[in-house]
Amino acid sequence: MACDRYYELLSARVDRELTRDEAEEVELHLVGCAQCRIVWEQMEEAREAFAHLEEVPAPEGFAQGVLDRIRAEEKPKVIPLFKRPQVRALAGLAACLVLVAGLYGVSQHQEQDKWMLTTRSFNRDVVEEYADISAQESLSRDGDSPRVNAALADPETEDAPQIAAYAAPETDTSAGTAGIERDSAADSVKDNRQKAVPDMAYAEFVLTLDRMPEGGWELIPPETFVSPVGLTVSVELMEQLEQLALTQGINVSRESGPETNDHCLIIILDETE
Amino acid sequence: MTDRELVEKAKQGDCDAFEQLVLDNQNKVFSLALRLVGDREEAADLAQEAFVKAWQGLPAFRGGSFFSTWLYRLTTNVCIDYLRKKKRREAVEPSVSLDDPDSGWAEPFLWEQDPQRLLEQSERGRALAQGLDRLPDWQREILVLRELSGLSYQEIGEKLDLDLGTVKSRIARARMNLRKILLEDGNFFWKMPSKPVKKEERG
Repeated sequence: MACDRYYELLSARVDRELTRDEAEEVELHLVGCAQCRIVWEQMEEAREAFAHLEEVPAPEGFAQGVLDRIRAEEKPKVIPLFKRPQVRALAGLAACLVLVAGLYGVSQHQEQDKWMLTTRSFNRDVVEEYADISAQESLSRDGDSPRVNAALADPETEDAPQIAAYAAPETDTSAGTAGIERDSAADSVKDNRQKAVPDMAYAEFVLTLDRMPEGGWELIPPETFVSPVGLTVSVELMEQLEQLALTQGINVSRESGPETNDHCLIIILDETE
Repeated sequence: MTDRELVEKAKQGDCDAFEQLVLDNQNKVFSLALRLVGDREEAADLAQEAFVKAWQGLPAFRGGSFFSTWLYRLTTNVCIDYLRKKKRREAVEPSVSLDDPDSGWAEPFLWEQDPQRLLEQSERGRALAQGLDRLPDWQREILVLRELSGLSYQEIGEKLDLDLGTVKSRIARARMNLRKILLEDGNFFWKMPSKPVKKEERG
């Protein structure tokens, strides 16, 4: 029908999103087309009714639910620690260490030792304190993976990546450091993977690259969170890097986690770049 | 206590003041979430999340816009994040839908039919709500983003990762479909076309 094209313009006219040329064209058309004038009026009426849309009452206990969730997020004892910015940074690293512990547990790469050395060099106290708290958290919440975003809980950055930390499945208090200190991982890797899954909070995907492909760094936005473990990027960017690596013949391996949070961990094994 | 005073107190950590802000805004926030995502439980969860984010983000709220406007924006963003993840999981691309892309709800609603009566404003609101409900998800979402969240075409394009042309045509599609549904209602529009509704306009 001839006026189909104009319906789109009329809709944009309702929203005041016409270019000047489009506006003129539509004005001219409306002068001569009664049907479109009616459609225009009806569109305006429908839009006017939006102002009178009934408010749907929030369900019972809604407000209480909000307060409960706020309290739950503020519960971890680690919060006072995190109020200090220097410690925030450290704690962020500590979170990554605990994550490494888990990755170490399920990863099949031989370069694990390298990571162990890297992680050992960090402040052991912070790690242990953090790991203890994480362990307690995971014990107190049945099946819920402990989610610590306090370190990155800057509320102004909408897209602040949330590194989820978890405690290794062993229930002894040095759960976090146990992963780092563990030497004989080989035979228990499979067991740990099965045990770890219920407690594990993960990135959506973990992409491990032998090395960063040519042009890879250029794709990484400047505000990307970089930790000793790796980079946190979106799924889209992860896929781009993966593609790039594959076309350059670089070994990649991808694992998916239970999360769907658009946060992917990129691990680069060869750091000599 | 005015909104502004409540916000000031809440900024300083006054939980009671924040609770009052929640109570004052919960229906509006919940309604927006519901109209965006279409599912009550999910909407309640997202609406609560929006308030939690508001609490966490209060220190950054300068009071330039109204608190409710800011909160509304927050709610929109929370819902959009959810919708994007959902779409990625389902890998549904509206433009290649095999079904009639204009069909939403299968069964028509039965609402009071009184051809003589012109609808009051609130009744029009109700009719609109029902009409919105009958739109396919992707049409409802984009129309609500425009009309309730107040996002510009540009902003919608950025948030949904669509180019302007696509935003424009999808909104127009949603409006025309909504119009068709409201015409079937029979009572919604003040002025009916002087000729009988043409065949191609009827459902």
